[in-house]
Formats: sequence, structure tokens, C-alpha cells
Amino acid sequence: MKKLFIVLVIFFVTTVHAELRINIDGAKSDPTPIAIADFATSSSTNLGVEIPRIIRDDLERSNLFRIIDPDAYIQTMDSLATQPKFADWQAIGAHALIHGEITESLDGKIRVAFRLWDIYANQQLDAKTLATSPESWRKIAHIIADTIYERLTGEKGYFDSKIAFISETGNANKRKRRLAVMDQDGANLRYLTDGKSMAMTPRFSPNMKEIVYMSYEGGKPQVHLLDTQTLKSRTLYGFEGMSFAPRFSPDGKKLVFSMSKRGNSDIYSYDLETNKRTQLTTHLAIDTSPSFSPDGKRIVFNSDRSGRQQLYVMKADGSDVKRISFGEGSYATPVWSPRSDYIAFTKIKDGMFYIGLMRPDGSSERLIANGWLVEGPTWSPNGRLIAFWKQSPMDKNGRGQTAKIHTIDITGYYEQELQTSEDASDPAWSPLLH
Amino acid sequence: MQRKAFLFSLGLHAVVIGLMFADFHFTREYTKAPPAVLMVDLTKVKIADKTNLPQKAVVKKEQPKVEPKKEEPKPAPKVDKPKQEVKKEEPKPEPKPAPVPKDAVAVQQKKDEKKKEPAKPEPKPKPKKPEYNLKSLLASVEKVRKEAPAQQQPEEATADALDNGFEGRVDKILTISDKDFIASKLRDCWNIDGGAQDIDEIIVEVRVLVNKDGSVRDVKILNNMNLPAFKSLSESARRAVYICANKGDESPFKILSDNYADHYSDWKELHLNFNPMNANVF
Repeated sequence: MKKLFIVLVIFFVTTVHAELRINIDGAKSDPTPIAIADFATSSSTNLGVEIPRIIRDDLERSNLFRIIDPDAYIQTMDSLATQPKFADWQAIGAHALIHGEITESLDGKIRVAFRLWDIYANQQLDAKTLATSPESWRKIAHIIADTIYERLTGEKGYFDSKIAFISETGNANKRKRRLAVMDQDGANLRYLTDGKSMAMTPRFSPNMKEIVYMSYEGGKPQVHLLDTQTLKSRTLYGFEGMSFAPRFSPDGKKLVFSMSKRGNSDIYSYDLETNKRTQLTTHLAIDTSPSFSPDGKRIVFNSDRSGRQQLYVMKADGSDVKRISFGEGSYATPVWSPRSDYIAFTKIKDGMFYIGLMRPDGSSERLIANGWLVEGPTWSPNGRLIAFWKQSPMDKNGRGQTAKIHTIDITGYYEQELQTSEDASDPAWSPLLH
Repeated sequence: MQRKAFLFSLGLHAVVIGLMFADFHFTREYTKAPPAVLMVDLTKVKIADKTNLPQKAVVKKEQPKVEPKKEEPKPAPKVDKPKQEVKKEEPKPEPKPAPVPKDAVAVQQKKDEKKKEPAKPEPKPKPKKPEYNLKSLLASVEKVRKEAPAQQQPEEATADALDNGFEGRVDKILTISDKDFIASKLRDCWNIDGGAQDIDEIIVEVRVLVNKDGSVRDVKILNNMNLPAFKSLSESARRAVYICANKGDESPFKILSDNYADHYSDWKELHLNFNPMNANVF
């Protein structure tokens, strides 16, 4: 019996473990080559070309994907409707393929159906149909780009989102600063204030219905709340002194901001339902730029209580204050990533400005962008990109000063300027819209 | 007197010199003759990456953490390049060139009142010392004691010996350089997002069925992790196998069919562990 057992063990071991084990440590991190064919359509509109163009632009701008030139595609659009010829797409190096179809329904809506294929696994990864009014075609394109991004990276996208910012026109002496909003790719620009009084530091509410910002309306800086539908603005109740640097809590029920009274700035919270104001810091130093953690339990802010502006984290009720930055220079405008893993900030050192990142405990500080003036980081809804504004210096004749919004990947690669017709500063990225 | 002393000294020297020539063989032990040198012709030895080590370690532990860092240069966060020219051309802006009321206004007002705190960094919490709990030590000793006799049972000992002898037999046939060749080819075919969240925690285990000609018959992802990036990383690992297999003569599996055709049963099933270690660009 024992011998039989031993024989069985020998058989089991030799058959089960007869496989070669190889460890592959490390990988490439290049943009993934993908193909996005024009969408088939019976419609007289140009949407079969325009929607894929927006999807290509979105994905290519993320720098996680490289779009293979449509001129190189071997398989025709007509034959794609039945089944992709995977060998044809492998031949041009595509890892994934997106194709779709647009139809018009009787109620005037358009229906956009698309499919995402894994070219090497020979299998469909996703397929969806979306319906909307024809004028919302850009939104449909952004939603499809988000779907593809999420399916291929495992993380939420950020393409169907907006950026609020300050549009700047006029020369340096008579600068007009208007609150404006646009799609994350710069399209659909819309002004929200008339520019009679200077607006600054806009921040979206989590449900996007309101924007809180600072305005010099009435002569002194005050926190205002703007309804994004009616465009009606109101000053918050009971704010004596200067109030600035406002930001919503993640549940949208509270605001945190700085208020300066008798030369001392402290951080306050404001309950939007009860209009109750609570002082969170009581230090003689200047405490400002508060930003909630995504779970709403902590607040990061900057303070000069150590002699220089440094970053601190405290509980949402103002207790348990801990310093987290210890580097050289001064730190300002901290903002917590929506995925909780980083705090972005502005750093001023030796006359230069930097955009940096650190872990919420202050470790792993990295500076990822710099310039004559770079400031005001804001996170994309998926916590992957940071938008900030970059100002160039004036020339000797007082001309040439420009302010533009830039984006950069948290890896520190791919800084890009967001194309705007006018100068733009103080960006605030919205949550994902869908 | 002097003569007597001289003779005494001479005699003493003679005794000392005499002792130097004497052999007190009875005071030392005879040592054994050194063993004969065993000559091994190294050209006839096939080098495998392991000798007789049992392959019981968990795969994750086997991977050395000292993988050379990615060659890709850091994004050179321009930080290192101080823009001297810019600063020279343009007079340095006021505290902040743009209207930054948030801090700048207040900082100016408060400069005199600043109450300095020591800028000393708060001491980091010391890492906890491992507790040398006698109770746990005893428990573990007891555990060892309990296990020890079991290992000496003849059946299990035989099974262990067999296990060590047969498991990973292919590993011993395949040379280190061939194994490295396959791994490096697959690494080049594996393209991932280096900025994905928690990427360092992910390992993708893949089983590949290979045909005798080196073509790939099937690829199966064996594990699952509850991390957002796992799905895309595991799919990219599967894609990497297919991409590599499609490279014709450059396929990493071609080396198996070319050089190890006689051992097909040993490599028809491959177990690949994809670990993006050091692939993140932070």
C-alpha cells in the first residue's frame, strides 16, 4: 500500500510540475498603439468622421495611447461591420481597435454604437450604444473616450469634464478677469461673470450646480457662490473682513476658506444648510488654502507658523494638526488628489515657482513642473493629471506677458498647453459629468 | 669570575641552539595527509540557474528586489535646470507677480508679528522593535519539534526527495542565458501604464500552452487581484505573449522549439509571472 502511495506521488509530481516557470520583471511604459476607424453612418451629417476625431484627440492627449494613422488601416470600414480581420490590424501594430456606427432615430436623436476589440486576444472587450440629441455629439465622443480609457487602463477617464477658469483680456494695467467655463479640451467656452469686478480661484461644487469663487465686488475680496444655471451670484452670510481661498467639502454641504480679521488669517468652515460658521484654526500665524481629503475627514492647508509657509494636515474639525512638508522654500495652494494618493502644491524656491506632489504623509516629494510663475494646481477627476496655470514674464516694453493653462501627467511627463483663445489662469477641474 | 660567566653564557647559547635542531615529535599530533584533489572538467558541466535547491519558495519571494532601475530617464522635472537666463533678463517679480491674495497679502501684513516655531522636523515615529515574545518563541519551538519527527518518516522523506528531484526539472535543462532571453523578450513585449495606481503590488500569473513548433496555443490568466489596474495589466500580459509569439524567428518561444525539441513535454506548458517591478516611472 505504501509503495503504491509513493508511486502515485511520483506520478503526480512529475505530471503536475512539468512546467517551465519564468519570471518577467519589469515592462515597457510606452503609449499603447490603437486604431480608431471612422464610424459608419447613413446620416447626412459629418458625425461619422467628427466623433472618432474627438475620441482620437482625447485619447492621444492622455499620452497613454498612440493613435495609428487611419491612412494605414488595411481593412475597410464596410467589412468591419461584420468582424475585424485581426491579422490586418496586427500587421499595422494595433493592440486595440475601436469602430462604430451612427444611426438617426425617428425622434431626431442619434444613436452611436461602438465596439472595442483586443486585436491579439481576438476578442471583444466592450460594446455600447449611446443615444442623444445631435448637438450633444461632442459629449457622446467624450463618454466613448472615457469608456475606452477605463476599459484599457482600469482607471476612470476624465474626458467628459469641464474646467472653470479666469479668462483674462486687456493689457496689464487694465486687466479684465472673467469667470468662465469650458470643456476639458477647450471647446464650448462660456463666460459666467461680466468682468466688472475681478474674479479669482473658482471651485466646482461636487454636483457641478454651483461654483464658489473670490471676487473683489464691493471693493474687498469676498467669497461668492454662483449658480451655474441661472448665473446668479450671492455673497455668503456673515463674512466680515477679507475671505478667500474657498473650496467645497466632498459632500458639497460645507465650504472651507480663509478669513482675515485684524491682520490674522485663519481657516473656517461654513455649513451651507445652516449658514453656521466654525473657526478651525486659531493660530497667530497665517493659515490659508484649505483643501479636504476625498473622504472629508482631513484638511490640508498651508501656514507660516514655523517661520515659512509649509503644509499641514489636520482633522476636519481642526484638531490634530501635523506638519507634512519639511523641504526648502515655501509651499502654497495644496490640493488633495481625488484618488487620495497625493497632495499637489505650489512651491516657491530661489525665485522660481514649481508644481509638486507629495504623499499625504509628506513623503516622496517630487517637483514635476516649473516656470517663471506656475501656480494653482487642480486635479483631473481621475487623479491622473494636474492642470495649473503658467505665466510668462513681460518683455522690456511691458508686453508679451501671457497666462495659459497647462496640464501634466503625475508621472511628470507630457506637459501640454491647453489651447484657449484668450489668456487663462486659475483653473478648476470639475468632477466627471456622466 | 668573568671567564666563568662567559662559559656559562656560551653553554646556555649552545643549549638553546641545540634545542632548535631537536625534534620533539612526541608533542604534536600527526595530521592526516590532505585529500587528493578532484579534477572536474568545467566544460562538460551544463549550468542551470539552480543546483539542487528545492523550488518551494513563493514566486514573489524569488524575484530579487534589486532589479536595475528602468533606463528611461526621469522626466527631468526641469527642476534641476535653474533658468538663470530668464531671471537675468527679467527683473525678479514682486513677492508674487500675479494677484495672489490668498497668502501673499496676509503674509505682508503679518510679517512683524510672526511667531517663529522651531523649524525642526517632527521626529518620525521610530519603527517598532520586533517583540521577542518568549511565549511565541516557545510556541514556534514547539511547532518545530512537532514537525521534526514527521519529516523523518520514511514515506514523506521519500516524497520530499522526489519532489526536489523532479520539480523544476525543465529549469535545470534550460540554461540561464536562454531563460533570460525568453524573459527579456517578453519584457519588451509587455507594455503597461507606468503611472497606474498600486502598480507595484501587482503580479500577473499566466499559463501559456506552446505548440511543438513554438507557436502559442492558449494563454490563460491564472490569478486575480482586487486592484483597479489589475485587469488591464493582466490583459496586457496576455497580449504580450501573443505579440511576442507573432514575431516569427524573433519569438522567445522559438528558442524552445529550436534548442529543446527533445524535451517538449517539459515546456509545452509555461508558467509566466509578470511583475511590473520598477516599471512605474516615479
